[in-house]
Amino acid sequence: MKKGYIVIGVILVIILAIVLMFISSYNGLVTLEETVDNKYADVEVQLERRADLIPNLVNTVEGYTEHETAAIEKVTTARENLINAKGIEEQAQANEELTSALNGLMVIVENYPDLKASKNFVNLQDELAGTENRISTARRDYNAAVKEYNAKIKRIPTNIIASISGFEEKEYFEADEAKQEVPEVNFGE
Amino acid sequence: MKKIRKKLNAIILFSLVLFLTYPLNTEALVKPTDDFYVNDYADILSKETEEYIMEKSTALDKETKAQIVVVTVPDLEGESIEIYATDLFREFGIGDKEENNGLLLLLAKEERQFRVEVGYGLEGLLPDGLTGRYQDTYIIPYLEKNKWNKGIKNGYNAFYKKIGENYNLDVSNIKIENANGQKELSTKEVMFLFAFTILGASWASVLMIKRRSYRKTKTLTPGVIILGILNVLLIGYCLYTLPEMLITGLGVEFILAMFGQFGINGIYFFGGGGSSFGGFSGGGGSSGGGGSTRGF
Repeated sequence: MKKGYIVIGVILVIILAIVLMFISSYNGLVTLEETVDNKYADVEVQLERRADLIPNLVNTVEGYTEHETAAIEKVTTARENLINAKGIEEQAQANEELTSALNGLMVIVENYPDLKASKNFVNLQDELAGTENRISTARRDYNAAVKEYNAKIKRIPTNIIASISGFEEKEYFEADEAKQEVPEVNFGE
Repeated sequence: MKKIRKKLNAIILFSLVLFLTYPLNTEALVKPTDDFYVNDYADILSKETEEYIMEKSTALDKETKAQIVVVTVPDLEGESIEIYATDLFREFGIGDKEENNGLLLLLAKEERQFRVEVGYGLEGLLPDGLTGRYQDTYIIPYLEKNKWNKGIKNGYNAFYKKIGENYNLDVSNIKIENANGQKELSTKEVMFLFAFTILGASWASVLMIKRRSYRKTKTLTPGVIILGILNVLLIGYCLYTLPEMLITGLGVEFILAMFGQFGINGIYFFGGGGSSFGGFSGGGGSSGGGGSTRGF
């Protein structure tokens, strides 16, 4: 009689421990996933901010230059693509393309000392550089969160819980190098 | 036996590879000093500048929880100044944890770069464009001439004033100099000018008195008039440079040194906000990479 109770008691304790462990690692995964989503939102905010700065920059450059429509158009198109990009991979790609379009524009700006020295342009360039740096910081933070999350859902025993409750692997924010366009620098006309 | 040895070799090789690759991933950041607000690892700041920053930052932290930290490093160990600054900012935990109202002024001596890194909470007050303009106006022109103390102190004051105003502190006594607006004279230049003008004035006076024509006739010839005007101008300029010399620090330092001799420096240091307490530390603030970078 007594022995039976002990055995049942031990089994109950073990079951309780397993349930508790399940709950805590499930909650841990939920927290991690939320962190990943938050960090992704941070990246998106900065991408939007970058896109918002472009029209101002384009206006300023147009005010000082002539016949540079090709480079300006490239920037404008890249901006449109970034705004319309859906999903992490597309956004990362569009962001890279905007970077290379802007680099092309900056090469042209070198030929206009008045523009380069204008207060408005210096201010815009600082804002843009700041936003680019914020994007890369947000991206680093996001990728670090993804790394932690992905490692967790692959590790024993959380991987069991993850597969039961449908936690899926998250994507890193990275531009696909193969698809990346080589920046086209147009000297002369 | 052979098998075991092979396995052992493999394990040793594996751990060796691990050991060799591991340190490559860790970044070499400097650690906060006991002073926390000022960390002069490049060894370019004077004691006076450091004490000034300690005094101001301690008071600011006490009143508003906002933290302004100055760090100079000899080099960035191959890292970009942006990433270095953000990591350092977070490692130090500059600013309050809730308000993230921290500001980092980072100078890399070898790379000749300066970065202002703004905590999340101050991004509205200090947009990137403004931090860039402040650098161009108050800091970089001095750093270009290797005037580290002048540049950092002036830039520190500019940011201190902006942040202090935001928290309704009295910042009317903070002096900022616009490096582009007027030509700055160094102490040496001022001393040279001072000596030159005194010499010039005495020379002109002597000449004037010696002029025989004036002595004899007691009438004003053109020569006497010109010398007289020159004399007045030189003496005027001499008087004009005297207060400037005093303001530019030479006089102040001299007076402070004199007070120091008479034991009044006790009062001076107590005014410093108690740097003797030690144990200053970050409030756990963070930054998202806002701010601006300049080369000099």
